[in-house]
Amino acid sequence: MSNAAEDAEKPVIYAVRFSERAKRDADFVTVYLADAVTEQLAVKWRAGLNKSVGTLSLFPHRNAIIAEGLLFSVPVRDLLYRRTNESKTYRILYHIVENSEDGPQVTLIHVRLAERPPITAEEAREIEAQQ
Amino acid sequence: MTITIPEELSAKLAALTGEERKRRIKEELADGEYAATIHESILEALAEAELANRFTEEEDRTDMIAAINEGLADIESGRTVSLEEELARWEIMKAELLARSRK
Repeated sequence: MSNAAEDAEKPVIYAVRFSERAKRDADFVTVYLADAVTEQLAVKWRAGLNKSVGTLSLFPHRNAIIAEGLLFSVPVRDLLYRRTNESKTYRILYHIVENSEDGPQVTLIHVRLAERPPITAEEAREIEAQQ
Repeated sequence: MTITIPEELSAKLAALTGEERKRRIKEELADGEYAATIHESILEALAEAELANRFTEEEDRTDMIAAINEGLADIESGRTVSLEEELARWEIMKAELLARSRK
C-alpha cells in the first residue's frame, strides 16, 4: 500500500485544549467535591473527567451539536461524563476547529452539571414506540 | 439509587440540611456506627443534588448560555492551554488535595 493510501486511512488526531472558563469549571467541581465529600473522591472525579476529555482527540464529531447551538456563532458540541452509574452526569461543552494554525483542534468551552441525565434505554424505547 | 438506612438515622438526616447534613454524615462515618451502610456515594449524591439545585431550569439555561459565551470569548482571545499543560497543573493540584486529606 502506498504512503498516501496509508495516510488517508489514519484517523485525524485533534489537539485538545482547555479554555480558561473550562479550567475554572473543572476546578470548581473538584474543590467542591473535595470539601463536600472527600479529597479522594474529588481526585477520582477529576481523573475520570481528564480521561473523558482525552478521548476527544479522536472522532470529536461523534457527539451532537447541542440543542442551544443556534445561539452561538460556532457549533458547540457536548460530551457527557458520569463517574459511576450512580453519579450525576456532567456536560463537557467543546468546539472543533479543523484548520487552525496548529492543526485540527478541540477546545473545551465549559463544564457543567447536566440538568437532566441522558435518557435510559427504557425511555428511548418509549419514545420509539410513540413514533 | 436507593439505599436502606436505619430509621433512627433516617429521621436524624431528614431534620438536617445542607452543610449541617454533610457534617453530620461525615461524623457518623468517622464514628463508624453506620460505616457499613453509609459510604462515599451517599455524600456524593447529596453534594451533587445540592449542586444541581442551585438553579431553576430557566436559570440553568441562562447560566449555561453565559458560560458558553465566556468560554468562546476565551478561545477568541487565545486564553487556552493544552491538555498536556492542564494535566501537569492537575498533578500539582492532586498532590495538594491528597496531602490535605492526610492531615
